[in-house]
Amino acid sequence: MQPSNQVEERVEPRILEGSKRFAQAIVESTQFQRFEEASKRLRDDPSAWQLLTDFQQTQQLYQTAQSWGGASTQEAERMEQSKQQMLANPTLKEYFESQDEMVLTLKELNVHMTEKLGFDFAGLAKPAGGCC
Amino acid sequence: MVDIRLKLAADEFIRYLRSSTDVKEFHIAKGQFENDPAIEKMRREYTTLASAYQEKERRGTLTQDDIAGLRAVQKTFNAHPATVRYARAQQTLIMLLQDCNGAISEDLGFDFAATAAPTASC
Repeated sequence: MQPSNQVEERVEPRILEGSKRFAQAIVESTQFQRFEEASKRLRDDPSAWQLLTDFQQTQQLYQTAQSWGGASTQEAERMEQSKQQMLANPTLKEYFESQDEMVLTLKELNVHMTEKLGFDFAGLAKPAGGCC
Repeated sequence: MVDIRLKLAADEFIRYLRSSTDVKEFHIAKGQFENDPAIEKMRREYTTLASAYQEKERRGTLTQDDIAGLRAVQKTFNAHPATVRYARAQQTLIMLLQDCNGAISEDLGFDFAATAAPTASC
């Protein structure tokens, strides 16, 4: 992201204001508010946080083993078990569901913008990055 | 389902974008590029040559003339005014959109475009 003062020099004020009002509308949306609330609950819930960290570590180990061609059934089962534990936790369940809902809303918004603009706004504006 | 307030804010933003010089120039340049008969001819020529190139490469019969022929078409294509204009307009548009995305993302606390973009397929 570019520093704000440079952006203000390059972009027409009304486009920048439009961007900000659009961002504000997203922030005030029920989907964003639900996700914010779920993120806060997750930050304040050490046991949920632990389950998430455990799953991420198990997943990373499994993926590393898989890339070497050495992932065992036991490791796959351990990862699945860790995933199920994570998804059974109400804080994490709400976190993932609200995240999915918000991402879906943003994607739908981008489809709407793409139709009206004649080009893919998010596709062109997203940071360039590697694939896979 | 996107709620109406969000859609209205998006529409206002879209209106401002559409009226900007960069977006207008992009659509004009894109139209010219897509409808230029010389560009279309070069595209067809390039496709034919590229396909022959791959076939010869596969068979191990590729010559320096084949390589030079393909490069020449590519060079002419890249230097064509319609291509140059379109490439420049696209680059300018991307810079504008990235600036807008920066402004949006700053308020959201995460990258809007990276989240909203269609899932890439590899």
